[in-house]
Amino acid sequence: MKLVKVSIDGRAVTVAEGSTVLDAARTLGIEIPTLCHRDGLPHYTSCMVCAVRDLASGRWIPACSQPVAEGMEIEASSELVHRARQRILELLLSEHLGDCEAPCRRACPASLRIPEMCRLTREGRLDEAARLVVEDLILPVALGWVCPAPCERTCRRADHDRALAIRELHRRLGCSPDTAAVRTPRWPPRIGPTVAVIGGGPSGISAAVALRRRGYAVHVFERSSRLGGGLWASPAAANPKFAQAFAAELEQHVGVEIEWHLNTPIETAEELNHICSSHAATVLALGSIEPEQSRAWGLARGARGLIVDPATRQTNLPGVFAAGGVVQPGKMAVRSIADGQRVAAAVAGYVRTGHPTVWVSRFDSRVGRLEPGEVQQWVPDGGPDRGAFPGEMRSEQLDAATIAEAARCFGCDCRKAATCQLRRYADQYGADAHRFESPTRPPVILRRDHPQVVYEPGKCIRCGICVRIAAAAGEPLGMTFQGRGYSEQVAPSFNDGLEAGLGRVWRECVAACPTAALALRDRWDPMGPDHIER
Amino acid sequence: MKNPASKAPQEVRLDEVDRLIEQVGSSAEHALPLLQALQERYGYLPEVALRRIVERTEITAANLWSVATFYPQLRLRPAGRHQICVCVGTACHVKGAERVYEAVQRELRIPEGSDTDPDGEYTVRKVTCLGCCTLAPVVMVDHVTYGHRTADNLRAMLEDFARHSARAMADPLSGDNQSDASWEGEVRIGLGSCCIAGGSARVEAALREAIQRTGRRIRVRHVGCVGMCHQTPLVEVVTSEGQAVRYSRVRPDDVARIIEAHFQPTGVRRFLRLAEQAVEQVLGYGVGGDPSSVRQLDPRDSQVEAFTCRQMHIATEYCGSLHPLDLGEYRRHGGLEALRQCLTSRTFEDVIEEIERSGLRGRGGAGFPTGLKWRRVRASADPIRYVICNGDEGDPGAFMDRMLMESYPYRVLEGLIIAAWAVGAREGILYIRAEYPLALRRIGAAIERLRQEGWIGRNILGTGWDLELRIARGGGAFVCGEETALIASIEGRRGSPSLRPPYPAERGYRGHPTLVNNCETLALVPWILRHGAEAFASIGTPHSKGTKVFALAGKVARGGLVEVPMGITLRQIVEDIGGGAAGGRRWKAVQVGGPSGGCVPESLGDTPVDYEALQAVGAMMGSGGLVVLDEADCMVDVARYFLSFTARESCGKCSPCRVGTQRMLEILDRLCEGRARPDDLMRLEEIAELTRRHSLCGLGRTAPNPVLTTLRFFRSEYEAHLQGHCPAGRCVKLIRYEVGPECIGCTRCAQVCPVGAIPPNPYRPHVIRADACVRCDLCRTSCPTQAIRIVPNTNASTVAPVQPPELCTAEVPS
Ligand SMILES: Cc1cc2nc3c(=O)[nH]c(=O)nc-3n(C[C@H](O)[C@H](O)[C@H](O)COP(=O)(O)O)c2cc1C
Ligand code: SF4
Ligand code: SF4
Ligand code: SF4
Ligand code: SF4
Ligand code: SF4
Ligand code: FES
Ligand code: FES
Ligand code: FES
Repeated sequence: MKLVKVSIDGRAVTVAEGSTVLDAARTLGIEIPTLCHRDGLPHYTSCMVCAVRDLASGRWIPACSQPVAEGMEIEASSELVHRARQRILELLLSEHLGDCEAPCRRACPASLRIPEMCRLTREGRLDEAARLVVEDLILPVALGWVCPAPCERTCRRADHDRALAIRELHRRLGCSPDTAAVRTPRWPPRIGPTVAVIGGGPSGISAAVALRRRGYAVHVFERSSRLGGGLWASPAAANPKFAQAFAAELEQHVGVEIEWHLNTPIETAEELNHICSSHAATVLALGSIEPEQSRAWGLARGARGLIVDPATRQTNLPGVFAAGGVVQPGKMAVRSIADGQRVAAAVAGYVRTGHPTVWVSRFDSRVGRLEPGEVQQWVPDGGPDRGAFPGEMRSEQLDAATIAEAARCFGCDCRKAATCQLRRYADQYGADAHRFESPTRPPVILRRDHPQVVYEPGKCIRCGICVRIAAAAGEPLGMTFQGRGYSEQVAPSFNDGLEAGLGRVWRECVAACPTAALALRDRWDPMGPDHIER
Repeated sequence: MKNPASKAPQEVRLDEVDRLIEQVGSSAEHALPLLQALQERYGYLPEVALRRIVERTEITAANLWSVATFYPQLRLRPAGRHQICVCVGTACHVKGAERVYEAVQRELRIPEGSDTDPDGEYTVRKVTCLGCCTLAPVVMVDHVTYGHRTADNLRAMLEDFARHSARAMADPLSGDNQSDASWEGEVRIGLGSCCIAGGSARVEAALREAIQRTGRRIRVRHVGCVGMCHQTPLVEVVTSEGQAVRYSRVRPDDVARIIEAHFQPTGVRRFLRLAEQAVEQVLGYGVGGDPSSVRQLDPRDSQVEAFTCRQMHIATEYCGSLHPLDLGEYRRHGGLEALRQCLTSRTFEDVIEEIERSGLRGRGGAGFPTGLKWRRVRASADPIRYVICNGDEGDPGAFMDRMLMESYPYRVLEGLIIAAWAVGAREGILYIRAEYPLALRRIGAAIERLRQEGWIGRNILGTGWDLELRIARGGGAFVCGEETALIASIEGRRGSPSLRPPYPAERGYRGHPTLVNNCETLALVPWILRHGAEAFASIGTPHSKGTKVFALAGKVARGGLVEVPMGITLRQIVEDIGGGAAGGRRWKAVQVGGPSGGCVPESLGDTPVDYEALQAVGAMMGSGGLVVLDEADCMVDVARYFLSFTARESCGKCSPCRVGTQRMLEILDRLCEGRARPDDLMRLEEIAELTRRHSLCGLGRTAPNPVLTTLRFFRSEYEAHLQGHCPAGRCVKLIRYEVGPECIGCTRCAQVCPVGAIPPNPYRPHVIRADACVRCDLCRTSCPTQAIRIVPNTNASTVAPVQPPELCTAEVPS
């Protein structure tokens, strides 16, 4: 066997003749993204995300298929290469038609994993559903009372019959006696240093709980005699049942692990300095702050609230962070809850390394507004409608009606949102789906002519992996390329049914498809966080 | 089915499909020919027949379906009885082909979203280049080509076609030109596609009649393309004294006079004829139409001299005097001599070395050294090798290869046979566009003839060397000109390119080393071997040797096929040979190299024809299309035109090209409609760079060139479009027609307007209703007082609100 010596990113490697640049890079442990490449199948060379640069000629080459040549010098990890891949991904994304996240989850400031909550509920996995809502919302019951439910306004199902009763679902999951046991949190041991949170409203509670979940000891200083702050301002809070429910929730979900210091106003600069110097970090969650106060504390303040680094929520004072209404006054409690969680992430990084963690939203492809009629395609994924969901605010029962309501959810999130290679690379390379936006979009299509598989051509990147798998297996019909150019599609031959096209290799094709173009009809990836902490 | 009105699909009989399979073949490689045969039989591809093919052949369903949906020539729904192809190639585009297309649709009342008229008579489709660019705009009805179409002569065309539709497409070419010395003179008539489209068949009939009346022994000789395709039909008269006079734009009615002028009738006939002539002189012209349309092209005429004197005929040697299929004549002019020498007295090393020394580079576009390519194939350890002649010429606005194959089929074949011998191949294929029926026929006939004479087949000239040649017909996809796509197409797969390496020279057709050369490259080979490498290398520039054939078209006074020495400047070609822009306007730019090339502005007109020099200005030698643009051409529209071509022709395989061309096109569409955003130019440049660098094959890698060059040289036009203004007045969304005070109320405009946007108002100033106007330009061109003018459409400048430009600066080209 003849050997060839090449160098990648300045590191020499010797590989067998006929190897590809990708093979050589793998030997060196250099990662190169690939979408259309699959070991064991013939090269197709279509996606071009594996771009690397040949230094001698300055030419860009696809690493997955380019054979190595003696003396080749390859650039595979530079800023230039990174940007090229980012742009290629952006081109691919400009023709991509799909929602990574469901519209409802996007609308929920706290990013409740709504479709997953519904799936778990519909499958009767109530404990898991309850754990999920507590995890994401921290105060799912209180929010169930006071939240204006922006999620429900974007619910796909509203285009069809009526929006899902999302708020009511998470409220019940949060307070039902059936799931009480699992809702009591099991805290990790307190390992980290202590963090101070000033203010016991929604953002303060949220930051405190989120920090405690990360293993830090937390002290909360609340000026008044009760927790809840702005929550009490909601008209719904006037209902005596709210006080009861909130108290129960605090006891159950939030627990006693956090040191709550009620009736402890922090006002003077000395008081603040004292807190700051005795804690590893401080979170200001005061709900609002007067200009004099911020001046006294030496904090930069803009027209509406404190000025913070938008990526980390750190104020101009190192180690002092701010969350909720002090930064941006607003009415929605859930926004403060979300902010508290974000700030907790930043603080955790700060305490651990001295650098606040940056919170980056995960890449999220969007379909946008649906055209009339398109919503019909989701109907098979949702259960039947039985009219209005009864018992708003009265019931604590996870009864059949609750489960039926959850079953109505279409599951508008992507079936492979956690495992999709395209999304993964879009995150890794910081791709912006809108840079090369197209003025038109093709119709959304969900092909359901297979008992196990759903095919969404809008998510297909024309990698030809399914085509090659079917061909290698000698499928009599097989998948193939239909048409050409921008309108080229991957489809079963003769545009026959998907079942015949995928034949015996359907499972393999679904597993190998780098996106969710081919996905199992009844299986969604477990939903992950909608952000990455860096 | 979208097409309720088209003729009822014929019943498909499976035994008939089986018979087709038997005739064509049943291996995987026969996918495209089988589909073509089906389409010829039924006018479309009936699904039952396709399924039958899968059942009865080695072709898989996946492959057959992917091929059937790849080629624009193939259709899956039934078509009308006749097919109208409206050329929207470059030359036709700049002469208003889009308006012709819209007019055809209106004329035939084709419903929206359909391509067939309600009676199922005609199916209309756009094609890019019918190879008669000098007659632009061109429309082909079945096999009859009509040049110089405008919105108002389409009805005449349809009527003519209806009258003559029985006329089958037959090559009017007769047998060999006899070399009998006893002729008193001869009349040569050009029979290239342009000439035929120009009406040479009818002229010939008139000629024969006129000659017969003279009673003298004058022979009519068929010759190939003369190169002056803008003047077709061309007739050349050679008297026994050897004096030659050429006539252009000859009409059947003109013929008698031409013959009279040179050959006196004998005896009584002479007397009668003179009497007739006297009558004619009294009556004057008037029967034969406009006498100015026929011109005697005197070789001393400076125009003709200019057209011819800078040219140098190597690939087109004996241009205008050889009968395309007369093998004897070809041999009398040195034909097959080079091949005979190779076979009898030369070694392949010696021949390859000679080609290398000649400096010949590929004429297919990229300019790869031909000798080196031959050497690589020859050097292979694999004993099975193939040669392929690339005659796919998909560049819209180029027709050199068509002309070479039509007029010099033996020369192309001789080059191919020599190449096959030199690299040690035993099988050769000529891949020819289906849009070139005449080239297909003549190459086919020439192969047969050479086979009869023992130049193809077994044991050629007793050397023990066998060679089989065959033709593969293309499917109307530009990308199939790319060599790996071409090979895929011949192998019966979709015409999608694949990554090189491996190059075809290492692993090509059927996995064996394969030499792919362009037609013109091959046509140059015999001359080089006959005259020696030095003679060839003495022509041209240091790195570009010999001659190049260009198809000169667009807004040029004298379009046609010209063969010029390398190193000549673009200005010399456009101004000296082409006579500058037609109609006394200034030429603004010349588009070199088609969709892969670029627009070279007049200010860079002194750029020489040289692979590297053209590349340095952002253009490309390409295949050799030269489309001249004048002040009336909008450069943004030209860029958009080319991009719409490449976007349509992209195979769709690799993402930079599939998506990049589409995104660029969308931006150019916005520009041409006055809807562009301020940062669009930056985005356009960025996508152009991406597509250029990362596409898999040459199509995508060169597709941005027209955009990049126009952005570079005509940026102000782009900026004007950003403001919603088209300086050339071409972009229909940005212009309006207006009647000025010169209007005398003659109502002519109202009569020609196809949509009734001008209410007739005799003796009063006319008014155009802007909402109804389709901007067909008919009124303006028909107005006797030039009262109608194009003005900027101020309403269209709904420029989107200014957004701060995003930070997406294009990277510096590496
Ligand atoms: C999109 C595309 C279209 C092409 N079209 C043609 C063509 O029509 N004719 C041709 O000879 N070469 C064409 N080529 C070039 C061929 O790939 C190949 O380089 C050429 O046939 C080699 O012959 P040569 O070395 O004699 O030029 C095309 C290339 C590309 C990328
Ligand atoms: S296929 Fe991937 S990128 Fe597309 S919507 Fe699904 S997760 Fe997002
Ligand atoms: S918190 Fe509000 S927005 Fe979020 S899911 Fe609940 S009701 Fe919807
Ligand atoms: S149907 Fe379900 S996933 Fe879709 S928007 Fe409504 S709640 Fe969310
Ligand atoms: S459907 Fe097939 S071609 Fe499309 S992305 Fe999935 S595997 Fe690739
Ligand atoms: S560059 Fe264009 S034509 Fe070439 S392979 Fe890619 S998509 Fe196909
Ligand atoms: S082109 Fe290399 S992985 Fe797709
Ligand atoms: S014939 Fe129309 S461009 Fe060539
Ligand atoms: S084809 Fe007739 S002169 Fe060119």
